[in-house]
Amino acid sequence: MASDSPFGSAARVNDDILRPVLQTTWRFYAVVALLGSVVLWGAFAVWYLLSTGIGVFGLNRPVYWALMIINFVFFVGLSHSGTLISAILRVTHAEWRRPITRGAEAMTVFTIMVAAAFPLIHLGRPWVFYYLIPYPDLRGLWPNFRSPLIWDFIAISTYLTGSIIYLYLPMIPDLAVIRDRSHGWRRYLYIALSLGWTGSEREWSRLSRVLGIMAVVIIPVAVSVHSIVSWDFAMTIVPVWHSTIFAPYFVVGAIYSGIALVITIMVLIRWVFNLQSYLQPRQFDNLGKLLFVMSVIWFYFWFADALTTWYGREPSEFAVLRYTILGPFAPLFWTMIVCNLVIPFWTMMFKQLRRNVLVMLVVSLLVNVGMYSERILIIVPALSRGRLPSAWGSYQPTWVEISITAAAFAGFSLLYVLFTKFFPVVSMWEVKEGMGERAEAGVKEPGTPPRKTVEGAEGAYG
Amino acid sequence: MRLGLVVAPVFFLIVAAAGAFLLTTTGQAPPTQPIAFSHLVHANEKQIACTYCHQGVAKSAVAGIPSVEKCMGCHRTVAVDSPEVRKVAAYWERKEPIAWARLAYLPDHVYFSHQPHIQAGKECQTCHGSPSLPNGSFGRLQPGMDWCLSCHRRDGASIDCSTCHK
Amino acid sequence: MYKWAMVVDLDRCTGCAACVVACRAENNVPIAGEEEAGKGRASFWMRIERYWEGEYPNVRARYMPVFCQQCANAPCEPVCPVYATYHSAEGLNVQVYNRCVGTRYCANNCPYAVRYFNWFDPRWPDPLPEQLNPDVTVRFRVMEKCTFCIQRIRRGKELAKMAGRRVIDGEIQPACVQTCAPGALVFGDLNDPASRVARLAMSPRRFRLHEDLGTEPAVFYLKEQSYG
Repeated sequence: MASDSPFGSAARVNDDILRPVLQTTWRFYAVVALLGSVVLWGAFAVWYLLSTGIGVFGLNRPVYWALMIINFVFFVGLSHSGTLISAILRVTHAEWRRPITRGAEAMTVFTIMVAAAFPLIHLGRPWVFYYLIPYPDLRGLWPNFRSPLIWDFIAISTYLTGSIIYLYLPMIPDLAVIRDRSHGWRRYLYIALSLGWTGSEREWSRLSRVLGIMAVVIIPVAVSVHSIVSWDFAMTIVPVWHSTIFAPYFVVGAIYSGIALVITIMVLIRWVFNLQSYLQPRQFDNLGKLLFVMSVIWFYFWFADALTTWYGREPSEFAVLRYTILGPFAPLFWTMIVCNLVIPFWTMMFKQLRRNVLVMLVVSLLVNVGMYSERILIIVPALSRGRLPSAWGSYQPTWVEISITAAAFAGFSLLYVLFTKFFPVVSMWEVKEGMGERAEAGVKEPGTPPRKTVEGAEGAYG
Repeated sequence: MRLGLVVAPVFFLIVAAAGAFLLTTTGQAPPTQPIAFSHLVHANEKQIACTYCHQGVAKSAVAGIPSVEKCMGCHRTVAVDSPEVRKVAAYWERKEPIAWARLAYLPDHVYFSHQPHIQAGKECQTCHGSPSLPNGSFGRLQPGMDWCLSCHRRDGASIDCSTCHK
Repeated sequence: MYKWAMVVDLDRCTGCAACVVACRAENNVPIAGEEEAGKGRASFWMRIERYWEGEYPNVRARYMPVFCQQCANAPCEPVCPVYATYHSAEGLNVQVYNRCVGTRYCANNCPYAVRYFNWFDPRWPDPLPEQLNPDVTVRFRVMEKCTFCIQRIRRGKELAKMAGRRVIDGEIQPACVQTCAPGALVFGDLNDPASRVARLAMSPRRFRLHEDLGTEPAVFYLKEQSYG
């Protein structure tokens, strides 16, 4: 069985996937230096912001929220699909998931970390952000649990914690493999991180049980997080924001943009680390089908929301919709429609295109361009056209906001690059399990699961 | 792994010790007053009422610092040979106010008026400490809103934010 | 218990904006400057909205002073994550500056757009710092808004308590009311049926801004009766 798989034995899997972890080339340092300098520039922008005031942003009355919150919603949205896809596919025992779970879970952790930075940067006085934390004190002061921002704070911290655990747990067997292959200080790092994993039957069955629980638990957490992000808007009485459809609409948009980012990352990983035999057209085919479905569902939600507003002609709501579609935001609006609906719909429909890695890269990037436009269109026009026409306004981002945004994208990429340097970006044991590999009797191989832990494991690549 | 088990508590202890050190040593040093005035002598030994010098306390927000004239009211005849009292007399001669260093501070976002507190029968010592405290400590306020609230809660005074925050 | 309220008689308002100036002086409202004001960064706790009606040559300007409506059912209050804005027992929508972390959520949710943010640390050219009101804190990077001159209410209540009586109608006047030459603004206790504000609030001319939103403002406008 093992010899039939396209990439050979379990040892070969270890070699292929651990190569970027164990060998460092100049290209790694070049990428880190490039991304690091963008992040440093963003850090300078944040310092300038803190020392001068929120006025260095393009904000004004009435547009009190803009690019920082747009980024927050966008990155929380991106974070969605990683853990969610991995969990859903694990729960449903979808065989093709094996090479993409790790990369998707890592994506969730790093996007949510970047996302969590934005509300802090956005605050007028970030140094007192701890007022939002419920802690007992002698003054008897508590945060306001009626505020969606507190729900948000709790949801994001829960999701971040859960996602880190969900990333870490299935990594333990792979860390044990690296432990046995590395030297020097890195060896101590992996000794600590692998928690003394030996690869006994008991450990494997325990891991599979814990993963089963985590995968089920993390799904409602993921759904709740983006619902709560949407309620930051929907709980207000701002025209257009105040909409019952916002929670599912945001969740759908989040899954949509998240899947697109998973595809982008998979294409890049496949190319950079020469993992063509692991990330096969089959994976992209299935992810492409998901993208197709999500583009249709996304448009359905958007249309249902926009149509009711359009038809109802409630003046304050209609003013916002008109400003979005016909006003200065029209180019952005058409970008959104083309990138989110037209292009993915007409490309992901065809199997040949779904199996073409280059097409997948371009389409997945365009979907996130569209989703970013969508986040802008949700936030800025609604605030620009408030209920009192005397307080109408508009918004232009400044270099500070743009720098911080660029640093966020660079920071996410940097975290991901560093992750691939320290951890295997493809879950080795899951791939081996899919191959039906079994540790040879008497050979101590902590990274290869016994055959019986997961039913239906065989034939993933047959 | 064992190494980690040792390092973590040690690290934690170092952080905790540093925090405790900072907390205990960041108290401000008492400012130097232009004249070595002693509340101990005036209020404790000679039993002069606080309101004799701090006259505003019962009717306005601030208690007030006595004028040089007030000092000279007694010190024209009392302890005229003391070197510190001579300094007071010198101010009086120059017709110059004494630039006392302030001890009791409230942050800018706190509204406080002495008058309602005196009307409710509070003693000065409740907030300012005993005059027998060493110079520089007496008069200072306990920091922190929890301390204000402890009385406000006990005595049923208002704990509405707007009562004290401006 | 008092219930503070304001009446704005639009028939009497001439749009002179003396109230705007008085409010700025009383409440240490920061100065934005021309350039920042052009970006929509100017703070006016009290502002005069001007609406043009009719076509030239038959044009008429209408003025409407707009400030925090001190809603009994304020949309800004539940969204604040730290209770920096809350409803006092006397009907005031209180803003606690030192509790505010600056999420600006309240400002988004205010349908009257009367909440202002300190985009920069406030600065006054000399000698203006000398005229800052010591009873009102100078705000840094937080939300701020009309308070009905809470410092004057606080002082008025203290004086009344010292004398052992209730506040007399007209005894407490916010800066805008005090300065309004045509007497378009009236402030007082709605719980006192004999007060001017309580009687005017019963007027058939009365209306409240965005009454349809159910925010229950404590500011009553009296609409213009005729083009006199």
